[in-house]
Amino acid sequence: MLRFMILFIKDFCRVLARSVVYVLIAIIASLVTSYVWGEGFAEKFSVQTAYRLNAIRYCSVGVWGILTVFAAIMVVYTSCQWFGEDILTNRSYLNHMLPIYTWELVLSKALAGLAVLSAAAAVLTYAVINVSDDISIVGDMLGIIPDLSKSDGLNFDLALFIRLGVYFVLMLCLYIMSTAFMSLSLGQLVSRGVGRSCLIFIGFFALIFVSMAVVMTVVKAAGITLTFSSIQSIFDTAENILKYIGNTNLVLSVLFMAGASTILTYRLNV
Amino acid sequence: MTSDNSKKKNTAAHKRKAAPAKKRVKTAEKALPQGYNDDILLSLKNVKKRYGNIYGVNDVSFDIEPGRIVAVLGPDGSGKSSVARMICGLTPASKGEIKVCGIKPSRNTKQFISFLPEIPFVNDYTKVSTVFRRYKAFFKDFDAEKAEKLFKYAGIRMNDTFGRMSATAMQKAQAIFVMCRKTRLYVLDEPMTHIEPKARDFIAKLILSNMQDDSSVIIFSRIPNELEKIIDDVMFIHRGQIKLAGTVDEVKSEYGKEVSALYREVYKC
Repeated sequence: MLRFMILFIKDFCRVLARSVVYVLIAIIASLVTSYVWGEGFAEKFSVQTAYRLNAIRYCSVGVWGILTVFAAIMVVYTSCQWFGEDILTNRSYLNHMLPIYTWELVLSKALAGLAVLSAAAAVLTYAVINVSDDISIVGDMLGIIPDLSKSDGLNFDLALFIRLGVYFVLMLCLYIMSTAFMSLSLGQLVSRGVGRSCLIFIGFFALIFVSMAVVMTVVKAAGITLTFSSIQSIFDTAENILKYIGNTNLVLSVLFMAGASTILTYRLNV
Repeated sequence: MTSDNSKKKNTAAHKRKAAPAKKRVKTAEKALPQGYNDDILLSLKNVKKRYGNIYGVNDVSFDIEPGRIVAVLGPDGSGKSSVARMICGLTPASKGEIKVCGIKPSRNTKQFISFLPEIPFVNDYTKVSTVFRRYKAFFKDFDAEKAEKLFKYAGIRMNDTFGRMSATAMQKAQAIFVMCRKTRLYVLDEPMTHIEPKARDFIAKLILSNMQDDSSVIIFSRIPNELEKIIDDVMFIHRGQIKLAGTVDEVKSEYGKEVSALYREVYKC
């Protein structure tokens, strides 16, 4: 356990150090957006140039949204890059000579990625909430959901919905990471060269297609159908989708990580 | 090596026994995995490694008994590093059989192997102290006290970052980490390449003073000069095949030359 913790801390620090810059950029963008939507900034514009103010404000919201999504993507990408660098390159010799199981190496990297992503998500969510006070459009959008949950005749638990949403996003990211881990590990089946790159590329898309088929099967087996007859049915469907697809992603992630560990144990080719 | 080692004069072993400041500690007893057999520490039988259509290693066979220092000499591209990586389980053999202490390279054999790769095995931004802590945490057989003394002796500080070290200092540091483990088989890939001559003596002394009675060292190198003083057995590898093998004395008496002179003649360098 202690050895695993050492591995995890090392991986966490490394992924954090590499992806913190993207999260910081997103936070700075949120601060800029908050400033742009403030009264102080509006005072710089006259009635004649108000259209410019609006253009700047909406552009800033767009850029901030893009940078926030970009930060999340970069955290996942950094985790995958760190996996490749620390396990599949010449520098990984020491890792492979440590008296530990390969699954510990793989799991520590996945958990480190997930932990950094959770931390980044928490910070970015705080930034969203903070900015939404200043930006009326975002505040309005976020305000609709609590209002809806309080509506008469609507059976909707907001806290559960948020929990499921967070769970779904985290599982989706874990799934993307483990798919990348598995496809990178598939490359180990052949010696270095073009064959390896092709196998990684084909493997990644094959895994995505297989996963999609599995998700579709699960959704069908669970009897989830998209119905828009009422607001209640939309929320029920969304809740079921988040739950079932989140669980399926978790199972697929575990399977892919186990597959990656098996390949790296028996067919390591660094 | 395989052939009649007991009959030959064990030159390097004699040197080791004569070395004064040597503490000989037997490798710590551990829970041994199934199939463990330490009569022969390393055995390769008809091992091949294919890269595309080319055999990087072609039909290599040899055994290494405990207490030997073996040099596998050959120029670039002769298959040395491939053999080293196959022994350590870092790449699979395309054909043939490799056994370390009677076991196929796997997680179980890691505890018996201490590997020094040719290229740095740590990232540039890593500090010596970080790797030190890692060795201490993961390897029960790591002699931390001895390593600290050796770092001091070599003028390497714990706060030094690998990326800011000279190639020589980096190789010294890595060699200290590898040789301060009390294990059965030390696999050293080009330990004396890219470093200054004085440091080569340091590494030679490090090997002699740190290997255990019941352990062996296999050194893969393209520089035979400094190695000649410490090795018991030598093998010449060319285009993935062993061209010449024997004890140092055997080679000297058969060819009437020092190993380094013979190496230059064989490889025309």
